[in-house]
Amino acid sequence: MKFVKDFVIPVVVLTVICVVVSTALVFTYQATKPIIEEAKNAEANAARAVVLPGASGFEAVEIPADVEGAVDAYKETSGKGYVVTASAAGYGGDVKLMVGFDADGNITGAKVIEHSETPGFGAKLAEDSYGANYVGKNASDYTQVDGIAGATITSKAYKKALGTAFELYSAASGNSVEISEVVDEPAEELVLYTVDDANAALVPGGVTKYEQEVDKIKEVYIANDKSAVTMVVTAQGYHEEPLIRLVVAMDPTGTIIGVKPVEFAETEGVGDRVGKPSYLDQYIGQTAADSVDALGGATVSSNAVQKAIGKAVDAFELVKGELAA
Amino acid sequence: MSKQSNLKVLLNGIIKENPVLVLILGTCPTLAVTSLAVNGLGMGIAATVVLLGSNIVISLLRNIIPDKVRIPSYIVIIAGFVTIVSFLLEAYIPSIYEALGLYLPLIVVNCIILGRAEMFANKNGVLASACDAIGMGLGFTLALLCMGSIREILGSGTWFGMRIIPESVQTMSIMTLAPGGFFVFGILIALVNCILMRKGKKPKETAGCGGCPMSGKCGAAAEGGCK
Repeated sequence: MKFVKDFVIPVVVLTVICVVVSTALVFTYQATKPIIEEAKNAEANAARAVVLPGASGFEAVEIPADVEGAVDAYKETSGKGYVVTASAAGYGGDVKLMVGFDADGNITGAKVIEHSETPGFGAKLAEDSYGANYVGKNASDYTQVDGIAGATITSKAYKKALGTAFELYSAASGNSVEISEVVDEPAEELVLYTVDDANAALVPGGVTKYEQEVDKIKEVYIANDKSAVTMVVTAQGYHEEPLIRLVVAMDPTGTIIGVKPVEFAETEGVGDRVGKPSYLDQYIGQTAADSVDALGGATVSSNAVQKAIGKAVDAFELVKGELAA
Repeated sequence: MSKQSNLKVLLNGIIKENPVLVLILGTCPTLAVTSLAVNGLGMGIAATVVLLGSNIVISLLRNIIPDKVRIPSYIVIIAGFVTIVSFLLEAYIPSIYEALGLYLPLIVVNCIILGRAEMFANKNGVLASACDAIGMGLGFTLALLCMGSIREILGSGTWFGMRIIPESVQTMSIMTLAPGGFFVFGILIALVNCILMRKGKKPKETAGCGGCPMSGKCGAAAEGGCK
């Protein structure tokens, strides 16, 4: 009997307890499972309704297996449109994008639901305000929305995911759409000029060196036909040495007609973007140095350029008498 | 203990033998989930339900479960209740389910529940055990609610999501982090000790020892506590 009491009864009791508890669990699980699933569905539908406003319910649509980056596609039950999810490789990992389409294939909303991009740069694309730029775009004009400066790779990934989303929409709805490809813009080169070349480019009629120093600017040139003045100005950029050197040309009214870099040793890919024509040409037609916004991610270099141009603008007052009115 | 009235058993748990602030049991979930008052309340209620269920069942089975397998039996019973509670929470209050996260399944190893099973339920009748569970559960819930309220008001400026401190005032966000949990915990323990001393009752010095599941067998409690 001691054997039964010491070994059999404990085993039997523990087994019975386990069986009873397991049974209770099975019943609870069965009872709560539909409710839990419904709640999860409702949550997922609420998330989808953010990109397709006014949606009432969704049903899953089969997606083609050969589309790279395809995640899922849902059809709105009342025919309002579709919500698809697509991903593309960004800078730090996959950028997963949920996109809503109306029945005609126009974007009704785009939301980044997963990303690991750099905070302050690529992560800006995950903000809802950026996705709002795409509302109303279709398969042919979505590529025209601007990316975000300093986040080229993420911007490209965003558009690539959008391209995939259009493919999914096309597969889900049966409407074949022409999807414009994201084209890589040719990288803009930083072109440095010599002072003479810059003068030649800015003032085609040729220049003559002004014999005096003007407001501490040593090199000032007057156009031979007195229609413009050019000045070589410097400012400290991101590095202490060498200084940023620019040639700034102005017409007799003090309006900037061109800015060319002579020395521009700013950080490649960051500050040196400020020295490229796409940025410097924004000064053309301006009369004040502070009228052009600094370039995101290159504040120090932008400010240096602004300071250098400011010197030229200040000095202009002293030489404008030399020009033909 | 069996001579105590059920009401006294119930009230004991709230201050005199408050599981968190006097017995210092269940510290881990206490510190972890009380960054918001609603989480503290949810955790407290979830643990109370589990405690009530397990105390009743263990008290019913106290003459059937052989001594040798009592701990595994208790754990199976407690784990069963915890899982049931977590299913119910996930189905009906998913926000609390998500907020409690990992700490919900960890109720299984919450010392309060196993401690009450060992210290009380396996020695007392069903009614007394149920009262003990409710008292202890209330004590746990109140302590968590109190900590959660203090941390939420000071750390986020809200209470149950309602704004108490105007948004223009910078809140002490450290209160919602782990160090804030320790600050509030320590201050509350001191406060409860102070209340108990005012009443002329010495705070239980053997609290940690008396709460130990082995206290009955080790005998050190009777000699004035663990050495």
